[in-house]
Amino acid sequence: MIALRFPRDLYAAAAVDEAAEAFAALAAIDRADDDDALVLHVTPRYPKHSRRILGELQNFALAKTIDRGGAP
Amino acid sequence: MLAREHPMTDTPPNVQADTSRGAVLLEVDPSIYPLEAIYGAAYIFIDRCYVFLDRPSDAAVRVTLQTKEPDPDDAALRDLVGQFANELLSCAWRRQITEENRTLIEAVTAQALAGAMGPPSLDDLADFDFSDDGFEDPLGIAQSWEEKHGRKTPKDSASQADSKDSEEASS
Repeated sequence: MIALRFPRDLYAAAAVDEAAEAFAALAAIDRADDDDALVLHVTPRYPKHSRRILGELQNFALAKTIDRGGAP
Repeated sequence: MLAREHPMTDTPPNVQADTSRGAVLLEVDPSIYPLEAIYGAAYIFIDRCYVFLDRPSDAAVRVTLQTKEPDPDDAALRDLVGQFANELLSCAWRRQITEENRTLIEAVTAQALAGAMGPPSLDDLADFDFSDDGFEDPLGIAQSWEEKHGRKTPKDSASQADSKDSEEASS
């Protein structure tokens, strides 16, 4: 399992949620936020492709944040 | 946090390579490069690498660029971070130009939208307030050619003839 920390002042919570939902078929994802960051615990379902799954998930969250005009 | 992090040769101190992940890390000062510029540059690079933003301190945003290919060489990482830095500067400069010209852009856009609404209707013209004073025209530019140089009207001719007769009578 890998923890991805998305700082709240850089990523929109709705964008991170959307990313988690979009990648649910490729990884088991649990959200456990702390004060400073939105934290996703990600366990890729295909370990061989875990690098790609994690990278694309990060890109997805960032792109959706930018589409929304940035973090609130 | 990172398995192997070391400064790249011939690069600024705010750039580090993490070769175990095929990534390069760039720390950016948000007081110089605003967050919108960082977002803009990151968005452009999403198609060629994995981009992650982090905040190691209040005075810095750390951009992690990880190549989509697993084992890049140092030259590829150096190219990547150099291109990103250029794009970052470009985005910051474009944002500044936009801010400086915001009033002009809004005025032009408003005029374009007003023009797209079509010509005014007769009702609009009837309601238009023409009571404003006309503009000053000391050189007579707004006068028609006839007003300025044209033939005299019959009324003017008659008054001129009258004045001529009175001059002859007096002499």
